Amino acid sequence: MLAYLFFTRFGTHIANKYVRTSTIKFISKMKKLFFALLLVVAVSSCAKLPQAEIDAANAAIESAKGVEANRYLAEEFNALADSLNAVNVAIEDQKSKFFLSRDYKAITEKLTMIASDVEGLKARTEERKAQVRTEVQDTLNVLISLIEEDKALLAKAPKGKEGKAALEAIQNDITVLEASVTEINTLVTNGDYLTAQDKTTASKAKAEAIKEELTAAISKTRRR
Amino acid sequence: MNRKSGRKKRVVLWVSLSLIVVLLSIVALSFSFRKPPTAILEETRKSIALAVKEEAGIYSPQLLLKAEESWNEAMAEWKINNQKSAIFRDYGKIISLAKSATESAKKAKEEAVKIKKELTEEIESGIVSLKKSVEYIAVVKDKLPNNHSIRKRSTPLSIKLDEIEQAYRRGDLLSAKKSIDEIKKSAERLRRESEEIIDEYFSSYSRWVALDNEMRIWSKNNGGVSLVVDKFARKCIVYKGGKKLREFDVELGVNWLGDKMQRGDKATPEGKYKITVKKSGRNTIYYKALLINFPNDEDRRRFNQMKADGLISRGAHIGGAIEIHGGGGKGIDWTDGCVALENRDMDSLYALCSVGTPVAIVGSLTPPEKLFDIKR
Repeated sequence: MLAYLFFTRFGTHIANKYVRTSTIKFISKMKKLFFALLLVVAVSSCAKLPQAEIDAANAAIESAKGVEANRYLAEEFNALADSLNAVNVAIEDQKSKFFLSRDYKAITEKLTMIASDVEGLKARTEERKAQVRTEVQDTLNVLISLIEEDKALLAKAPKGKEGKAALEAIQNDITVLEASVTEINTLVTNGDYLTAQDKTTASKAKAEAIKEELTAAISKTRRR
Repeated sequence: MNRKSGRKKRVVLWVSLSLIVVLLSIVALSFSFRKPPTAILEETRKSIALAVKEEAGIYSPQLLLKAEESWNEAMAEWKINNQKSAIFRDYGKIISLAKSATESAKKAKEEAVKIKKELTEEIESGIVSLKKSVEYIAVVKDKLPNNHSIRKRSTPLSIKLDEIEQAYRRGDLLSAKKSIDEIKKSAERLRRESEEIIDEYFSSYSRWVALDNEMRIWSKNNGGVSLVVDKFARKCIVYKGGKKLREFDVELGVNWLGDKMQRGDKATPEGKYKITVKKSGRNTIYYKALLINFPNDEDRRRFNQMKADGLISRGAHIGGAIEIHGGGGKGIDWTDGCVALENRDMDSLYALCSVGTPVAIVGSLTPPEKLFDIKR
């Protein structure tokens, strides 16, 4: 009955007709108060959960994993993943509050920042990967050239009656290096640049040692 | 009547408003009484972050996974609770899951730190031990015949050791440890074999020193020259009057290490011989040559014993035609067992020697501890 008088135009008409003026004034005041409250509620209900930003930040972290940011720039990746965890706690904390006191403004800003930082991290990861890839490729090229030099020097190396057989062990070393090149190429194809880098550096050192050994042997012959 | 109904309506109105206020107060109070588990979940998050920082994902993956699973479950439970009315929320399970996650994360961190420390120590001592082995093998390998199997097997080892050091430097402890475990046994085996080769070879050292003395004394007592070929040093020493007169560089058989066992083994024999024929011109293809009496009686006795012991095949031949000849200076051990000198040196030696000149061929006149100046 009260609600009927309160909310409907017909109710107001009935109230004007049958209810006393003081009561009508009171109802009118209450009406204003109610709508003011409704407005507050409407305004506060604008503190909506930033679902789009949450999804974007989660997707960004996943995409960073996809480019191996967790391997190439692990510390930065872990810091951002932890920031997202902190935001998730903050979100649930807000959701635990009375709906009138929820506030997602700071959270939304943080989520936007995380998504943007992840984009930066992804770019830096790609840069780092490209840098390692270039380093591996450059060292690999040097290694391949060294192997060729070693082969050329081996052809000039002093031989006896046994011919090439006398230098079979050095040829064996070169074969080991050639097998390394194949392994390195496989690692590069699989995107495992860090392991490839270890192997390339080690093989290059050996190729240089063989070159030194052969050069010394050849110069020893020339001196004689 | 009108007054009565107006009073009634006012009462209804006030009662309704009071009810609304009471209800709202209850809801608000229920929010303030049920404190959300934010602090405990924050603590869990920080614990997990610390564990991740200590690389628990690599060194304590199971405990970290347990922590993360409990954390995810706690967060999911919190979400479900937040969908309920505040009056019906229950944070008990969330708190229990969060506590369990924190505990697991702390354990994961501790375990990761411990494992990393242990791995670092293991890797460091593994690298030191491998380096010692590889360095020893390298020193031995450099003094062995070019085609010795030690050399062939040492190359992959030294490359792998470099890879291990690279992986260790960039903090990839698991790869480094795995590689150490892979090559540790073969490195130890190769080092042991190298040590055995050297020990076995130098077991005749005292005999070689005695032979050298004998040659020196012979040259003093007989007024002629005597020769000593030091295989390790690749030198041919000429003694006269008990003193070293000349020294020439020589090249040996491809498999010079060890005594000659049979024909075709390309080893240079060890023992006491004498020059039996001097060859020059058309009589030799190696410029000038001094044929020695290999095999001597001692060589024959040893050869027959080895044959009897089954160490060499029944059809094996002892070989012969071991000479000191020219054609050397190739910078490599290349002969079939002979001792080769450069032609210019051969001229000098040829002039100094005559038929009957005693020749001792020895493994080394330098003790092994000086040749292999490395700690075992």
